[in-house]
Amino acid sequence: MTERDNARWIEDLTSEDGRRTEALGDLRIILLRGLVGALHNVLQQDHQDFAGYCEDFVQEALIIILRRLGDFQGLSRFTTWAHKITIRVALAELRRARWNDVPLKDDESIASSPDAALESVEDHMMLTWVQKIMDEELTPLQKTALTALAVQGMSSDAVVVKLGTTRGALYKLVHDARLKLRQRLIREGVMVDPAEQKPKERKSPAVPSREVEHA
Amino acid sequence: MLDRRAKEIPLTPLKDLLQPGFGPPTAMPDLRTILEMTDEEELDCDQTCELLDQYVEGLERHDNVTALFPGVDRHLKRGCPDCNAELKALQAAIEVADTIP
Repeated sequence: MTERDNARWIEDLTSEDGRRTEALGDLRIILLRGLVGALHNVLQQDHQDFAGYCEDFVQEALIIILRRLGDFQGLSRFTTWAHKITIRVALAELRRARWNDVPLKDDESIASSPDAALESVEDHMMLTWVQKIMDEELTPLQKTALTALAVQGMSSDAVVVKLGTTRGALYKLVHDARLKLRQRLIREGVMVDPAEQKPKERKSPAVPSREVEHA
Repeated sequence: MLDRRAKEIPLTPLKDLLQPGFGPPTAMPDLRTILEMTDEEELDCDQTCELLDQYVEGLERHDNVTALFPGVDRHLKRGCPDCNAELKALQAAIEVADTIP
């Protein structure tokens, strides 16, 4: 397999000769091996169809990678960037398969969540109270989405499909719901307003964020 | 596999290949923690995923990722199950791929 740095990957994958074919073949092998490792605890690797599904995921990812080559800014290794896309393709599909038959619930109590560790009476009272303010503050759609994500533990990929929306719209819906609940908790004195925290508790990072360039 | 496809034998439904543990995360943060970590401005899942490759390599180098990628870091610490799963899978993929001779 040819050793390539980022520039070489881009050069080879955009060439119009045999280098492109060779680079695609090498990338396919790298992504396939990475994906098999990534799905170690997710899929039954000894199943006769495991390799076929992995091949499908990588082929789909390669199409996306080639389409998005212009988006690669060289801020990570090219192969890491390509692995990221492959993982996303695979896990999104797996999450949809996992949750396809599970209905959304709009009447499930937070306190009934199997993940809710009710270790004390106070915990239970707190959850009951949060349930009450959810009923008072949130729209039915916000309650359904927040319940699916925070109580049922459902994947947002699955909720997006079930609600017929987009990931961005779902995130905004739930973010608005969380802000409403947080503001209510602050009004009720249950939670401290971050804006009123002492300056020393709100440390500014000493290192400039690299997220700005993506804003 | 290719032989099965050539004969048009349908693949086993993907759901039947899933390991039993693939589902709701076993340790989700409680709602109060999620609300305490809710910010007016946040990165959503797509924005987080866009930076996940850089974040993972930052972790590899032991960079201060909390300072370099504060939005990604808080998104993950809020317990987003999808993005945390993608982070874990990406780390595993890189680890395996790095061992290729």
